[in-house]
Amino acid sequence: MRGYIVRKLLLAVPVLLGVSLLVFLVLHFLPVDPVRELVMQHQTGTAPTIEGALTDAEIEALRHQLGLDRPLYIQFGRFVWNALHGDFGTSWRTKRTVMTMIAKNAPYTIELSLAGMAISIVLGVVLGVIAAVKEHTWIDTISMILAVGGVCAPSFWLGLMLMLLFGLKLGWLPPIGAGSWKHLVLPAFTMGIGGAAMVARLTRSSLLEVMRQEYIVTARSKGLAERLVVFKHAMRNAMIPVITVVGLSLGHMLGGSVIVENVFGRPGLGRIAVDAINEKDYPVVQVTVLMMAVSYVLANLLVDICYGLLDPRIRYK
Amino acid sequence: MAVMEAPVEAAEGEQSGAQSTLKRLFKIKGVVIGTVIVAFLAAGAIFAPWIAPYDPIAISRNEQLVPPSAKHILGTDQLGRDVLSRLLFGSRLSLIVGFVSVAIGGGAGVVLGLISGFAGGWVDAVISGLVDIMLAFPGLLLALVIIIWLGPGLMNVMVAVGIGNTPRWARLVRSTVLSIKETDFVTAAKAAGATDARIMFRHILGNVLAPIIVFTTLGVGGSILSAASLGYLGLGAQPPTPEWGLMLSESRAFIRVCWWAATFPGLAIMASVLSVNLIGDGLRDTLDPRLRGKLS
Repeated sequence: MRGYIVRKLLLAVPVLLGVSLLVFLVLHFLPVDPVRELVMQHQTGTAPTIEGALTDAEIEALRHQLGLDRPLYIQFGRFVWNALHGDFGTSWRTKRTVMTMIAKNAPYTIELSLAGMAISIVLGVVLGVIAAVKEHTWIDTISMILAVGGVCAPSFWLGLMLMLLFGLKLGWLPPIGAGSWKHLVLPAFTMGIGGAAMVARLTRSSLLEVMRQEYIVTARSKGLAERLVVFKHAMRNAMIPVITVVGLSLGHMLGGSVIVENVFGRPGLGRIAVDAINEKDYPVVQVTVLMMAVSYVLANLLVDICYGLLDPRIRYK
Repeated sequence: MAVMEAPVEAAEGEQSGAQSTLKRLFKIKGVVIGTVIVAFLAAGAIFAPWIAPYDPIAISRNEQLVPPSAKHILGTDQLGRDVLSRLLFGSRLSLIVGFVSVAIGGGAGVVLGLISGFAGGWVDAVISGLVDIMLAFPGLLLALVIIIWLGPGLMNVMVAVGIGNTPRWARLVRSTVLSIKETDFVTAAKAAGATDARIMFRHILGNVLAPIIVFTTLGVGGSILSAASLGYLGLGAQPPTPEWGLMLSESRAFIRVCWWAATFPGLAIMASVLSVNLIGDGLRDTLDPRLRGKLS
């Protein structure tokens, strides 16, 4: 098992480096000059002056000071080196270090993603099991119609509708903002419903497939209660494909946080990423995007490790 | 969905393969429902200039936030624009975006997947590595990164969503190619002296068509959704374009007094995604049931 984990960890390293390089290159080859942009943003912060206030020589000096005149590979190396030491640069807008911004916003996104994931797993598995056990009944049909609808509903719309109904019309929950658990309910459901729909469909089909296997027939013919057959014998095997989707759904959560945080006016990584894109605050874009991609890779790594734990055959492939 | 499974007909008689597939396909309820919705949307898109009651971008100062009524069936938005007319014109954009981004993503992905699966060796290592890196960007993020580069706009959204879809296509086609490459008919073609390009595009591509067709259909829905999300974030179509995602975000601030302007565009997005997904699910079950777990 340890060898398996080490192997998976080593395989993740080139992907992580590649992700950093891709984000670095995208921003490096943008059709804007970061130094001039920096100067402009700095000036508009105090008084509206024309860009030519700094001479070209001064701009070049600044470029040298920031290390932006070095060869590309050195810049990238420095970026990675600094990042590994917790230094992610400074925001052009707020003048604060990106690290402070991340530290302040990440907890909101983590909280939201975990809550969303919990909802999608619980809701999805329950719905899927009910549908499978009641195969071909109206309960099955309705569960699956809900699941198909849930996959297709755009999250920004779903969020607005939940906000309208529970936040504005019924007044049960705060429509926007963050802070208490009450603020978390609507965004978490918005985030979780899409995943729940996927999990439900997969749980159903996977459970139905497992239920046709011979060892289930054996368990039944031993006279075991149907409840035990389903939960003790069938579920364990049926959950393997479901775990894959859950792992993937964490990615959806992180990507989805961009939308959900926007809809509910919550702070968070997705929010600062979009704001930074609109404000051309590239150091912040770089780090937030990178953070999300890295957590996705790590989540997938975790899923792989869970596979190995659940199914010993996979470890030795 | 089990309720929608079609029985495989034992006697196919003189029917051609395609005919019998179509026949089986339309026995699935979901496919019929999906086709009806798509036909409806397509008709709306094509005939929008003739059937839309108002100009989709005409601002009317004394008719702001009018609730649904006989005059404005779906009401008006905060600028007094008719929601139904905007939806009809918006369906053009959504359908185009859906198909163009799938064409871009699918085209690039199929070629990359074919080459990677067929060539093997370092070519495969490079392409697969790139695909792995691109797949590390969850959900919308890859499209977002590309939008930063291209700048906002509807055209750029299509490219961004297309490129964002490419790695999943490449991976799907590669894995299918790998399993087909080892079959006897490929060996036979090779023995007969067929060139690599001929084997790749004629023999192998022909046999990966089923998953490609299914993935195309399912991809259209996903692309419509992604494009609408980017529109919602303000990174896609720009005002006053009647794009569904943008319509929703523009009316967000007025949702308390004007539920209709935000509700109907969302329903339209959902209906279009749902319809193509229903057709896609049906195609998957008919053409290649083995794909069930893989493409959902």
